[in-house]
Amino acid sequence: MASELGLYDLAKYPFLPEAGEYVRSHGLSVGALAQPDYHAILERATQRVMEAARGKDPSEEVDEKDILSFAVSILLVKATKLDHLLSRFALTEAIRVEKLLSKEKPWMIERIVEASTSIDVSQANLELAGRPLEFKVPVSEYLKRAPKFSSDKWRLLNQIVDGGYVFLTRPDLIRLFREEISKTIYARAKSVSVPKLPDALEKIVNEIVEATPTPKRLEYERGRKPEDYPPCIVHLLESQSKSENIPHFGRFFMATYLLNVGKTVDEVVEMHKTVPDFDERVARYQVEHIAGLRGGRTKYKVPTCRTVISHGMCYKHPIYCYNIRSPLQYPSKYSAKLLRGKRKEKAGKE
Amino acid sequence: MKRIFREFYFKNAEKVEIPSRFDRREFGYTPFEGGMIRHLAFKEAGEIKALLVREVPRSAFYSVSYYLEPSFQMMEKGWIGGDLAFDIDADDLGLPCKMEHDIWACVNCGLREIGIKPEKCPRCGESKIDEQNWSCRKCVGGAKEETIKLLDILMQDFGLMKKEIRVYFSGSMGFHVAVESKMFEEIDQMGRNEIADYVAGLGLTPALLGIYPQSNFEELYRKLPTVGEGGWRRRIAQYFNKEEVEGYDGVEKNGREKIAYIYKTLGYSKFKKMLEDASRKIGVAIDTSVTTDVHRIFRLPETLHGETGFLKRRCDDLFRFDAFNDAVALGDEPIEIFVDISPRFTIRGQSFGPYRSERLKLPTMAAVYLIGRGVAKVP
Repeated sequence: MASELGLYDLAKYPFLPEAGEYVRSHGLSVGALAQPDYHAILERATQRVMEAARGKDPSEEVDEKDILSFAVSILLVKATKLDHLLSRFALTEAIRVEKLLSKEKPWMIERIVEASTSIDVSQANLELAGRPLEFKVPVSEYLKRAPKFSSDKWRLLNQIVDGGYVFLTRPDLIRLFREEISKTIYARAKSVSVPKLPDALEKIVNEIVEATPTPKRLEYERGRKPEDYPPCIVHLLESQSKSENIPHFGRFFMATYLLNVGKTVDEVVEMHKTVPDFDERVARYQVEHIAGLRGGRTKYKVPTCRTVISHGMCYKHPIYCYNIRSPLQYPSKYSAKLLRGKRKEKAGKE
Repeated sequence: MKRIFREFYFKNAEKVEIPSRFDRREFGYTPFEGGMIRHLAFKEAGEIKALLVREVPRSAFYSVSYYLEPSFQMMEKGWIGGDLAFDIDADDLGLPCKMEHDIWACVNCGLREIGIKPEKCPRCGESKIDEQNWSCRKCVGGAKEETIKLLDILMQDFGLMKKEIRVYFSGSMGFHVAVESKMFEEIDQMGRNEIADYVAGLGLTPALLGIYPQSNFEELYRKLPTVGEGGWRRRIAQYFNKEEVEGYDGVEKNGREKIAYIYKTLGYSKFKKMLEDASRKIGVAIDTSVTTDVHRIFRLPETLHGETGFLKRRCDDLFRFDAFNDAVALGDEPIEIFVDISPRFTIRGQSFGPYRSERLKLPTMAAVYLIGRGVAKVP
């Protein structure tokens, strides 16, 4: 199969083992990179890393020097010692691969996917529901990847599933495996050790560090007011106040949510007092367990929106719940105002 | 009851089905004295059987998952993988026979009656009311139909082989289905959530049928499903093919024309809603939380159910399986009990009840059934 890949192919997919062999056979040294002969490669490598640092859409222009520019860009990223840049770089490169693959012949797509995942992808050549379903993958492999995507489109129930396979269009197959391509690139880069760089390269590395924004930490709002609770929680609290019997999952969900927005164990236990079979000792034990104060000492996470939907407890707000994955991401009244315009427009297209 | 269970396990512990890879699974049980004992692990199958004879549990369980260290606390066990587990409970089917056998009890005044739980207690007006679900042949029959639907999905859609699927009567209200397949054992909680929703038909959108809000009707027709396809498209086509639709006089039998007619009549939004309802009806009434939860423990096969005295029993021939006969493990020896309340029920062809505040002698199988349900006691 190696003979089927030309240098241009390796330039498009430089994370393939064959591309690695090419770089090794080229005998590229770090010292030589500062020489004028390698100026174009260094420039292209810098551009690759800057695309990742600035969150730009990766370009699809490729030429043969990109086999080397990819290797050099890994050196530059590693030299910054910024792990979040390494992740962004791997993702940006994977997005470039996604774009390039979308124009390839089916055998090349199979080849690249198999090289990064060892999953048996086969051609299906079917058309159903107006979708050209070129490929099929085993259901189990689909399930290891797709549930991480939040859109309804990726839900197993909305796929064509038959005989142990999920049938996919070309863009969907490529998107499904993009994470793995990204992980392959990340792992490759992670294993590279960086020697002392010439001053000219150190200067570039410093420029990259300056251009890379610090990652934002996602912090959920504590002390959230009841009027800002998402509709699923509001509904459960209303049922509870009417002494309706709430299934175990509903109680668990309420407890994790309330603890996560800053309620104390006592407050959560107090809120459960209206349930028909309330037993304070049992309730306290369970809430303390969820809060990570007992048993394995792990604080339980709030279930995702998808899990809440599965339990039939989602009362989706058409605008504010748009594109959120966790009930914790439901906007407060204040931030909702800011979001309203943006989400209303998108939700209308759903 | 413990004496009867002890006698049973003394004679029958050898018949208990020990799950595969048992040395990687967690075991647990509920003693008659109350509470729950979990995180037990065994190296030999004989140790599990010995535990049943020695401890005489009210109910015994095994984990659907396999762990590096099954006896450790949950977060430290080291999850390796797990069977796919499905629980079909007749109570979730909402069958009309519920009103003939379910019992409700007022938390305040203790009034107990047979029938559907009222909003408020008719005697004292209390709104906190407990309910207890019972099952009958009709309920188990309904659960059996759901199980057959599940098997169709597992084999036709997921490509599983019959030998990878084990079906059991749960010992009470329905069926347990366990899938042991190399392909699926490493699927995590999120993946299992998808499987649960797929099986239950939760979240189906018109896009699966090729329908989008902006779809041009003429172009739409050729995208619609037919009964000759596979997966959920086939199920939807079959469903609509059988549905009586007012005003539809077409003759085509592949389902497509009728769906097109309904869509044209209703428009996108109403059709979407109708499709959601249809997919819930077509889907299997499983308890999705059981399939999703990788730390779930399942009743050990061929052990007694603490609330009925029935066995959790393997059903190799689901069609012929008769729970009220094939899962009955206890004998006819009469026991004197006091029954507070009980609907009519049938075990091994013998009909019992209804009873109300009565002292009477019943065969062991019926007496344990009532004591286990908490409506009778030995005087």
